[in-house]
Amino acid sequence: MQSDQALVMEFQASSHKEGPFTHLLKRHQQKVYYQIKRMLNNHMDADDVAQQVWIKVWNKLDGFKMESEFTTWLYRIAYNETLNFLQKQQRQAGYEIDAENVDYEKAGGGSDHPKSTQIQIALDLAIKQLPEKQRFVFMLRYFEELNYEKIAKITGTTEGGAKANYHQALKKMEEILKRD
Amino acid sequence: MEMDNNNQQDRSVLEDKALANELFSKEALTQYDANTELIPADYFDYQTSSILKKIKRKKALQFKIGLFSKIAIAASLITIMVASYKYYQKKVMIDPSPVMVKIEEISTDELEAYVNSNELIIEADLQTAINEEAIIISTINDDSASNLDSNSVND
Repeated sequence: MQSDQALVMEFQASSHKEGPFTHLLKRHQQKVYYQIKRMLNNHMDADDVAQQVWIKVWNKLDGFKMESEFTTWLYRIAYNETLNFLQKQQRQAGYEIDAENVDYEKAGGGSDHPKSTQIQIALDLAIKQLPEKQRFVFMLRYFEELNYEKIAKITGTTEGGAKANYHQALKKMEEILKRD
Repeated sequence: MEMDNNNQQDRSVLEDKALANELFSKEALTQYDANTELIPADYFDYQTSSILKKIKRKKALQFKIGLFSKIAIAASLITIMVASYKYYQKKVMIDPSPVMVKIEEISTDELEAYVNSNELIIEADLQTAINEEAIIISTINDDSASNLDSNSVND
């Protein structure tokens, strides 16, 4: 099986780019989609953003200098696109999610969570109330099990900053759960 | 060495996850992710074909835009060239200012050729001038003679 680096080189060297691109897409599309869906909690939105990410990858891959791993670069695009989407959504809605005024029932029912129990709904709400960066770092660390060096590169921070983000996220979620 | 680093990293991830599991509930967190993974069947096949279709459409559009731009640029250049040529021609017709040439810029051969071709004209002009002068002189002489005659009669 060809490595990511080999596929990127093939993409950059060849005029038939669909082949290596499709390999990269099939190899990483699930991880990208799930990471975005964990952030957005909605399949349709996650699908839109994930497709946007891959179109951006197609457009920018020729200029990728391989100074970092392909997946780090890919997650960074996903991170930026997700943040852009969330900001646009907040602007359109005209308000930010107010932690004090979240409708408990509605928030649980509005997401794609059919089997939600009380604790799951509470956790879901707590995760939603995290600042976007902390939420992204928490997802990458807990679910994708990435190291802090990689998380720092993805989110544009230092290793220490990424570590602090993870622990702040835990603390904040704990506070929210205790409060509710 | 690298293996040690990896082991350390793995331990660190496990510790971080254990901390989260302790604070919340491992089941709740696992369920959160399981719910995330609820997607329509064959979704990823659909996603692949949808992305590739979008890319192909974009490529075709870029090709069309590229072709259109090339045609537009070529048309603009041709228009500019034609307009410049017409403007230049019009200017020459309106303002046919004489071409000034310095005498130093004319070669000796050209000068000689000019003089040779105009020599007869110069000679003809000279002859006309001599004839005119001769007429004037003869008129003056006739007048002087008649004056002398009248004076001698009076004497």
